[in-house]
Amino acid sequence: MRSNPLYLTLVVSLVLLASGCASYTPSSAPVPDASAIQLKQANRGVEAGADVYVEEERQKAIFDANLDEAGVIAIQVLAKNKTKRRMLVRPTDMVLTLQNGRAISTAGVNSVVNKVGEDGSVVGAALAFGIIGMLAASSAEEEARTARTEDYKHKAFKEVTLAPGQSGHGFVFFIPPPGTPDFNHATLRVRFVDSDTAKSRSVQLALRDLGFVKAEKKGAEKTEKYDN
Amino acid sequence: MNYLLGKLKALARSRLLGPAILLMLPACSHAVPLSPAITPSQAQAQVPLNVGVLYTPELTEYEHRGGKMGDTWIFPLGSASVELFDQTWGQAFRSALPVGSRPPLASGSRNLAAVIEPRIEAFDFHLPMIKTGTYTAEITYRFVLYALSGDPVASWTVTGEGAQRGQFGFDFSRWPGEAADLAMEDAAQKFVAGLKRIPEVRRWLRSKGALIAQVLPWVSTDE
Repeated sequence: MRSNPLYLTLVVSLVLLASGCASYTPSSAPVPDASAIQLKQANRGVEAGADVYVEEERQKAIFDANLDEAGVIAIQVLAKNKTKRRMLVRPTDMVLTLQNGRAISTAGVNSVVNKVGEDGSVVGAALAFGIIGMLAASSAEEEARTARTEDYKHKAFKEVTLAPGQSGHGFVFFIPPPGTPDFNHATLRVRFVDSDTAKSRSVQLALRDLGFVKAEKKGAEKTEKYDN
Repeated sequence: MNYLLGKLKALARSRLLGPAILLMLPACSHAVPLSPAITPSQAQAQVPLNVGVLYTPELTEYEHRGGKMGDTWIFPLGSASVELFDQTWGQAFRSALPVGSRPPLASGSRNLAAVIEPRIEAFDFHLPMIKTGTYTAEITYRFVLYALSGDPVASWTVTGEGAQRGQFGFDFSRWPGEAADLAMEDAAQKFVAGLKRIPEVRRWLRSKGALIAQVLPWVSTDE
């Protein structure tokens, strides 16, 4: 009975249904149109715009995850070169500065996936369905994780050299380190570097209503919610 | 009974079930062995300049301690990075000599064109739920290039990624270590390949190229 393929299929299906979260659909939402970004600033021929993904619905639509809960800030950034020179824009040059002066660098996609990933479903599957359940759930988790990583990379802002008149856009991620106090406002710096002369110019974008609550506090709130 | 069932469901919903079970198990601490090595590359031309290399205590003593699956994983990234960079500089520059501080340097710096300081900016890793799964790691280094006057010439980051499939066995630290090695190696290769594409570095090379051309006219740093 136990070696019956039907039994295996049934167990695997049950595991996947039970674990639920170990799936990811990267094609669910393309990178949104950056021309709709409202917050824009210009400086000597370069322009940058930012749209912070604060709302849970928007985060889930684009990333299939609650980034806020994971302590990740996702910002769609638009960079435009209106000069007559080639300009390099690197996501690693983008810095989020808090009001207390603390500067936070962009996080890599793998770190973001580690924060929001598929962990957690495999243990439940193992408890419920034994070793077969664990193997099936683990494999599903890995596939989902790979798909998520590729999708986030696709949506991320990539280093780009903008020709005159060109623009680039994509998401950058920030993971405030443990102990970062709650904050609502911050400044995003987008730096443009002249590819030939290496002279740079930056655009500062004042971000409002970020509503960042430190992870420790979120955990407590969540536990309270389930207690009630 | 219903109360207990409700609590259990809430725990499962909150994704705390796994960590809760893991917390019941005794926690271990794993010293992850690291031994990154860079493959010699023929394609990249060296920068024809001598540089000083500054390894600060922040780098050499850097250890990443990460809690995953109820255990602590200790990656001695600083010492491993130094081991890797000592192999890397020779591919990037004509020569690299260790220096004890940021410029301006007290003495013996006449042959140096600049000083480079590597830093570890970020590191993260992932463990699969079963040992035959894929272990991943990601490391970001920042490189700061200083002129001999002490002014920073360039500051840029390089991120490396590593993924390694594990095997069944009693060795818990090997596969996370190999994933971290691959991430460090990837970063080192990207550093060598991308060095001359950094606009600030190119500007510095041009300034040094003009200087070299006066003394050694057959040396060219044209892109």
